[in-house]
Amino acid sequence: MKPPTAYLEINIGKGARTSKIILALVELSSLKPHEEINLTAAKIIAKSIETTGFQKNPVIADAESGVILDGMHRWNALKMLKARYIAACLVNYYDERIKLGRWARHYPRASALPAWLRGWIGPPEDPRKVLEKGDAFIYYKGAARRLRLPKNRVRALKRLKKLEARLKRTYGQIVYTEDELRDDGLMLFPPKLSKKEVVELASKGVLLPPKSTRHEIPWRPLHVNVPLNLLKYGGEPHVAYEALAALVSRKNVFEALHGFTLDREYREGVLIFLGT
Amino acid sequence: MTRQLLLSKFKVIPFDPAVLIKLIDRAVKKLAKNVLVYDWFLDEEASEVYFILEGLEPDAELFAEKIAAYLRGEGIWADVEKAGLLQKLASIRPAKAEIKVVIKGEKTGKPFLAWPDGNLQPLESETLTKLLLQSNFSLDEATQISHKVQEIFAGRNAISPKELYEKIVEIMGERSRLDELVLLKANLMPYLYVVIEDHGLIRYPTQNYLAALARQAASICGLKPTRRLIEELADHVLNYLRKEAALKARKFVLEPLYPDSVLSSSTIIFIMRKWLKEHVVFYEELRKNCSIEDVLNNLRARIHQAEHNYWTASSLAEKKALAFEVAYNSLTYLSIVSGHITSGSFEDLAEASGKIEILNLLNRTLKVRSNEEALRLLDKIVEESVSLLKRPRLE
Repeated sequence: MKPPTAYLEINIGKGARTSKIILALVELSSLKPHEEINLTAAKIIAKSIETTGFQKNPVIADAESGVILDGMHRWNALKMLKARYIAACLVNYYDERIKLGRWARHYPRASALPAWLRGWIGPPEDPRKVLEKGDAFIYYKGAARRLRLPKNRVRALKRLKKLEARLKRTYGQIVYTEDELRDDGLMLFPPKLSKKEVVELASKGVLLPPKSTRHEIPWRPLHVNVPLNLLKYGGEPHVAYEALAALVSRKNVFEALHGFTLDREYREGVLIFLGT
Repeated sequence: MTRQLLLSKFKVIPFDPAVLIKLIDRAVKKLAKNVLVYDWFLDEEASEVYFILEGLEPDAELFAEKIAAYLRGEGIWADVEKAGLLQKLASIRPAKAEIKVVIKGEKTGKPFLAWPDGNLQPLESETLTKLLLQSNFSLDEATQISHKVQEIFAGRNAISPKELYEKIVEIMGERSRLDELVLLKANLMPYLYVVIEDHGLIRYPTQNYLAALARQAASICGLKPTRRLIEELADHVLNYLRKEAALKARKFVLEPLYPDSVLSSSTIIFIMRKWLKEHVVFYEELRKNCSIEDVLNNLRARIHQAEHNYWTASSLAEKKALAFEVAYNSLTYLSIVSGHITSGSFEDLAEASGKIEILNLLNRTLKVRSNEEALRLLDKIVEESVSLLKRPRLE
């Protein structure tokens, strides 16, 4: 991805634990989403950005490939609003501290393995081993059963999406949880993807089903409040890039450590930008 | 127990944000005792209110409870939420981060002033000089600073008002005086002290936003304003808000507490309507639709009278005054016919009526030295101006 000509470089942490975050305006078209979105959710975000006049939180994207790690809905919302730019936090995706996990699907109301599922699953196995391996599996009553899915990742995830929807129709409630085993109800674990796979698929324009990946980033800037007028600026890009750096660099920045709840629970360090 | 920076969070019942903003603003000013409220913001999507404050934990908790009780007293359910995972108040601290602005871009022209609402305005030295003069700087100082600022930011594409303010403080160095600096801060960044609540959203008083409000005010009055009139009106209100900000800024120096003044957009529109009423030519007549024809008839009569007087007048000075009167009234006539309302200046009238050539002729008349040439031009102005009346009447 072509780097912007003006940006904010934030260095936080000490010694080897220093994290470098680049906060910048980037052309909307230079970023690549990797997951499908919920259109209604994107429309709600678009409406909110249009009414408030601000993109509250920047999206998180890989500086090298431009793949969006977090913020697919914001990207789509700004596309709907015909913005030219998006505020993004550019990171090195291959940094070890950026963790790529998965969202487990938990059906707490499930009381039995449905009969139609039998053809999809293998014999019972030790759940800890299967969990560690990162394969797709169903966990029910202390036993893990691997899912028989196509070898092609995209086809496997699309098949899984259908399975997830059918289970939701059967059991109603669905809760997205961390990658851990819960003994009540039934759990569906999608396959774990590698960072390389995510980048390759997104670069080809392939969109994975929603909640196929779960990214944990060491530091996350919040409440940066980038004006929509700037995101729609039609003049020289240098001016827009520099304007963002000028506006944000003078804000007061606070940090909150060890987990934090703002609009949702953040396990990572949070940088809150305040003031004008 | 030590004073610390804390973030406190509230959950409120989804409610009209406009009312919430007003109530919270009032409550903060009333109840902030023993704690220093740095900022607060409403997340209208999540129906949550956040406070950034400094103080002892029990004082902060008490403050939060009091605000919640105040809102409940006003009939709005509010509850103090856990801001952190473990405690009632999340402990925050100024980030120990190194923040660096990296600029590799080329210079594209004049630097732009980036307003917090994202509007970009060219940084004109005249505008800056005017602001410095308004902040009690002497003319010499203001001109000197303006030039220096242009030199310093010559390689930049965009700067923020805050950066500009800091640079001026740096330029002033030891010569800086507190009073001037306080006024300058209020003039450059009135949004630090005064904000506008518009249908539940906090808006910054910037030229572009005020221009949008001015358009609203004019349409309420049933007027079709020119661009120049809108700019003039927005400027007038911005100056009014700058004065308001200066008062707040002075108070802030003495007592560093949450200083915002939240004005509603309807108040601003009211101020604008008042200004329109006082400044717009024929406002009263135009407001009453039935009298527009009368206004036009009066104007026609005055134009014909002035034209008659022009042809019979003998001195050049008298002829000049009469020709200007004919031109002015004819342009006003034409702009009213085309449905525009102007600030009354020749430029504005010429633009609204689409008759720039008459303005050019007037300017040429002022420059020519020969009396004969001046007379020829004046005759032409009168003839052309009167011919404008032959145009169709009201659209």
